[in-house]
Amino acid sequence: MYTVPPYLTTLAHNLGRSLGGHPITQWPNIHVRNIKNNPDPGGLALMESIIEKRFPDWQKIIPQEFLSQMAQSSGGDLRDFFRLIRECVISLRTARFARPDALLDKPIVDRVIRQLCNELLPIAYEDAEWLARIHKTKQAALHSDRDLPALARFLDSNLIMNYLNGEPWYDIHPLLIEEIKEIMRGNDTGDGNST
Amino acid sequence: MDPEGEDAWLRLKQHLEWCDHFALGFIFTDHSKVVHIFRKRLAGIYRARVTRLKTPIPNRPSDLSNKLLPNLIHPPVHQQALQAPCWIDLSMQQGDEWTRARLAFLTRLNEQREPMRRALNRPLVLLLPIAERTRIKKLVPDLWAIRDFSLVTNSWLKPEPARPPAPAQKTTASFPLTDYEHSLIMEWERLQTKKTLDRGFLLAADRALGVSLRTGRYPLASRIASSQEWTARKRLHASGETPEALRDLSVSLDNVGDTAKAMGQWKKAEINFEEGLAIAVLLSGSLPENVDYKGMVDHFQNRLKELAKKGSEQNSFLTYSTS
Repeated sequence: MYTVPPYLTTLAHNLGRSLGGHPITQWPNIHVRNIKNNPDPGGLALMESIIEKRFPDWQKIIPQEFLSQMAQSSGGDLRDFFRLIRECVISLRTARFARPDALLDKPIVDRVIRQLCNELLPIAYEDAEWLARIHKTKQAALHSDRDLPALARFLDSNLIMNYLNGEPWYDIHPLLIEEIKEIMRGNDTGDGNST
Repeated sequence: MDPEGEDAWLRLKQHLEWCDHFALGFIFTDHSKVVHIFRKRLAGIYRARVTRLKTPIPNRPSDLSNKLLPNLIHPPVHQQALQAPCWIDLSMQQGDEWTRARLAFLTRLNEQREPMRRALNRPLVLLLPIAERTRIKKLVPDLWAIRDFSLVTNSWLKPEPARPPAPAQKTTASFPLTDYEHSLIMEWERLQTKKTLDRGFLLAADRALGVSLRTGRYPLASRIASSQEWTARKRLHASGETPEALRDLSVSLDNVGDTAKAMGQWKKAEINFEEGLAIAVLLSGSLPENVDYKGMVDHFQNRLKELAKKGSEQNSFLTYSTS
């Protein structure tokens, strides 16, 4: 079994045949949002079931609305999803040192999501332009093979994510949507070289 | 540290406590004093455990790739079962040569992610300069993808008090205990009543001591540290000078010294650190292949240096006040 990054198929067409004849299977992010960027209840339920199988009493710690918020913020990326949950649980536990009856609340969840967002930043203006194009077209929007290293960097850094329902499509990390808009707006008003 | 710093510390500690196998954390920092506090607190937590906090600090830039990297990917057999975190501080070394060596080390570590993850059965914490935070995703994408946590430090230190502490410092105010912390103290009291010489008592005392020092209960800390030292001496007497018994005694002497230092009892602290140093030298000489014992010598030497510095600060303060 070979695992290859998703951009390799662009670099080496018919790679499956070279590696033994079997087609390459895509392993996309979980479909927590549709192509119009609206939440997908099916994908969100799947994310919930992943937690349910590990810890059936999860609702005693994480209210359902927060789990759903974290699933959406992760864009269906399981590592980000678990990072958000882990950080929330740890923040709750440390809050309970001072207040033993503390519950997971919105400020904690928002801080943890903000922290994940900060880990994706900063974005150079040139990258922001391309990411905005991907967000709009839902395509990798490669002008030529020369752009492939940059696309690989986006995928490696989780700035863009790939999904599959029928046709594969790309979108930027959901936590970047507002940031990218902000950068593009900043440039429109002439003060946004980079952030 | 201020509340934000304490909060960050608690989260870091919790992350590490919940790791029972490989985990990777990044700390981005330009605040050496904050890092020093974090490292010292972590070392305190792991001091009385079989596996201590590992803080391999390379002497030369080339050691990063030539010594540290192979040690992470192929740790010696006796280290593979250790679970104390490995704390690699690459945040403070200055100069182009160090920067190049650090980047080469990280790149190779990124390539060797899976062998390292299979071999290293404990948390690895990488401390890097803040300036590298923005490019870490590009630099080591495979490592970054599997991070368990990341932390960016800030200037979390409270302003230093203008005067050194009075020699016989008495602290009446203390932080409230959580249920868990209270249970640690109770456990020490229970074992203390039993007058047990079991090694478990030393560990219980160490945990209770950490709580009492952290929450400002110095007289209690002093009683706990004394009980630990007494038990360690009894165990040494019973078993003879085995490395374990000697090491346990040195840990308890370190604790007595620490507590005395916190209470401004410099002389008592000095006597205990000196005895601890003598034991460390003895162990290091008998078992030179054990790097832990060499680390103990360095530790006690540093403690004595700190003490000498405190003493000279206080002398100059007293001289100034009476002149």
